[in-house]
Amino acid sequence: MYFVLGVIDLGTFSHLGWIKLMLSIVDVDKSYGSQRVLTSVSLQLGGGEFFSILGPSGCGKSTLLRILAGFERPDQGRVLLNGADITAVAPHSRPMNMVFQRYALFPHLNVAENVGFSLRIKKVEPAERRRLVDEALNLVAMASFADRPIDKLSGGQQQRVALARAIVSRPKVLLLDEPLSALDLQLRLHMQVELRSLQRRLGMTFVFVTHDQSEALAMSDRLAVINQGRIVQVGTPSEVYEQPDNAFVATFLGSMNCLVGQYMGRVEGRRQHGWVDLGEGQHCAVRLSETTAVIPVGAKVQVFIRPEKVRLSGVGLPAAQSASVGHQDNELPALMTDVAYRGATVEFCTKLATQADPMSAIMLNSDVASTRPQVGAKVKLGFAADDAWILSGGASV
Amino acid sequence: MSKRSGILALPLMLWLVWFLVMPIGFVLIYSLLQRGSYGEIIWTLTLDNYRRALDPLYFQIFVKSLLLTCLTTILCLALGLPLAYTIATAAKRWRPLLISLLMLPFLTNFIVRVYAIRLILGGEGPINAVLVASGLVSNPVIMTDSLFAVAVGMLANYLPFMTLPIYVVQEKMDFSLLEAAADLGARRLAVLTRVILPISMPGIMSGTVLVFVPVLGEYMIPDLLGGAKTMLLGNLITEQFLKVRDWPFGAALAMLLILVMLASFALQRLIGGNGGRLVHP
Repeated sequence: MYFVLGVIDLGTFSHLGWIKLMLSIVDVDKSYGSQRVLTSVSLQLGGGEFFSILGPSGCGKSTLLRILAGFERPDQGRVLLNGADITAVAPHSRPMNMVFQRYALFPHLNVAENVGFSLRIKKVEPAERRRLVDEALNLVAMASFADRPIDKLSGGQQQRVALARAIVSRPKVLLLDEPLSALDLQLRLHMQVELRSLQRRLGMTFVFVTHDQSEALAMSDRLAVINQGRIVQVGTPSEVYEQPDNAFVATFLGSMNCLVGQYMGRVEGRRQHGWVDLGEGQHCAVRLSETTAVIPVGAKVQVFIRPEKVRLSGVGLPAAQSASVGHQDNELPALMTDVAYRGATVEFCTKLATQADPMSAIMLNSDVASTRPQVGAKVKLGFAADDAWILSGGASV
Repeated sequence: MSKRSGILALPLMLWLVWFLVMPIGFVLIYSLLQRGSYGEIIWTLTLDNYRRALDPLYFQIFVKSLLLTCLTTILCLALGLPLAYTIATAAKRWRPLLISLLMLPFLTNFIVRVYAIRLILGGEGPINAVLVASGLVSNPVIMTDSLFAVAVGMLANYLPFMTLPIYVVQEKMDFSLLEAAADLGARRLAVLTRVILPISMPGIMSGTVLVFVPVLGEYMIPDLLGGAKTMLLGNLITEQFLKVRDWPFGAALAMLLILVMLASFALQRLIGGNGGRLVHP
């Protein structure tokens, strides 16, 4: 599969107006019957960014997108486009288009007719219409399929046609409702790259709804994590991954180790670090954030550590080992329970005597010495205090 | 067709030859013969029956029947489309009930149903009771024994035949298509004409055939609701066979009826030939 972009004149697509565009969602509530779907959701996005709304299924993210598209009215709150209230504006007069999860291509029209649908509604001249349809089809590398009926296309091709149909009339915002979820893995990864590059070239604001955290991390400029109808964190992928505000975000994005212990107060001489008692005389130093600095001494806490931040003593090559020396504030004894070879990485699963849950360490294959510890071996797990977080939502167990 | 499936279709083929092709052959032969003075068949070939059928006296019955059939079909379509759409968009648990309500009339005898309509429209019926009680009219309006009553009867009887095939198509329709159309700028009317109608076209086509064909040949409803004044093609043919005992002339009329139906099929294919598309882009 290929994707030609360089040859197409994008002049007609790049409006300066998009750069200033601002879409605001203000205090939106939505219920279906007695079921609360969204609770005081507020968001600001725009300026040609790729914005993802990420959450588990049933968290209300699709409802939020449907409110943006105008298919649903919020019970409370407003939607503003560049300051103008569009909450009550019907879908057909909103300057936004949507790519549906199952594409929703018209089965009675062929590819070109599908893409040209909105232009026909707007009574664009046939010649101009043909030009714009060709341009949009070129953008998604589907120009040679213009006369095909829809049912003669593969899933990936239908996806591209749906995209072309949504961008052909140059909406200010493109709404995408899990558009990649119906594709197989290879094609999904490929379309991630294409979507991202299309968004950059068009400079259009994309609002992308997904439940796939790796997709959201890979594609977004910024993303909002949503859980049970509430926005739990908004930020860039690295902010959300590396500085999660709470336990939900930390565990939802990527894999996460969790240690249970008792908070013992601050580390002497360090403002941002505290001690956690893991039991059996073992301690670990953890990072404190503004929200977790007020935890009372003696409270039960959860400590979160990313597997890739955990090192196994004696496993790394000398170079990798020495690079991390000095950051290893904590060293805990553990028993190796499993070694999973994952190609580029190796995952070591271990069991701490003090903990019920296993703890895993993921290391780059190239950093691991050829003599790996065997299952049943006694090892030491090292991690920096800065990489061990106490998070709200996990403060009380 | 492979040899095997040819064998499997054999019983049906025999059935069709025996009960469809042969009778039509008989009708064709009869239509070319003459009637004796006592209703017997005289084996002399002639085209007189056809000549007589095209006489203005009979031709206007032809035209009237065709017009009434078109009217019935259009009315069935006008009522059946929204009805089918309502059922197709109703909550899933209500749909079986709505469908059985639509089918309910078929549980009663056809004649009884038509007679019921006669009673409803009649001078003693509920409609006139309301009209008289409300003071809109002083004397009951006699609505039976008229073309109007025939049209009402046809509509009541044939509406399910239009509604069901349309429902079957619409029930399978992906309703996010309507949202997609709205999202792409289509207002309600445009959603209807550019998405709902074109997608429902196969159902509309089969519904039209299912209504048009039997209505054109219908003779019970005109007989019971139209009175003596309303002579339609179906009655005319029945009369030739059963009352006048002019089989050759009745056969010629029947052949012409078959011709009209075939012509309307051809017309339908012409209209619906482009994949059932209503609006050609």
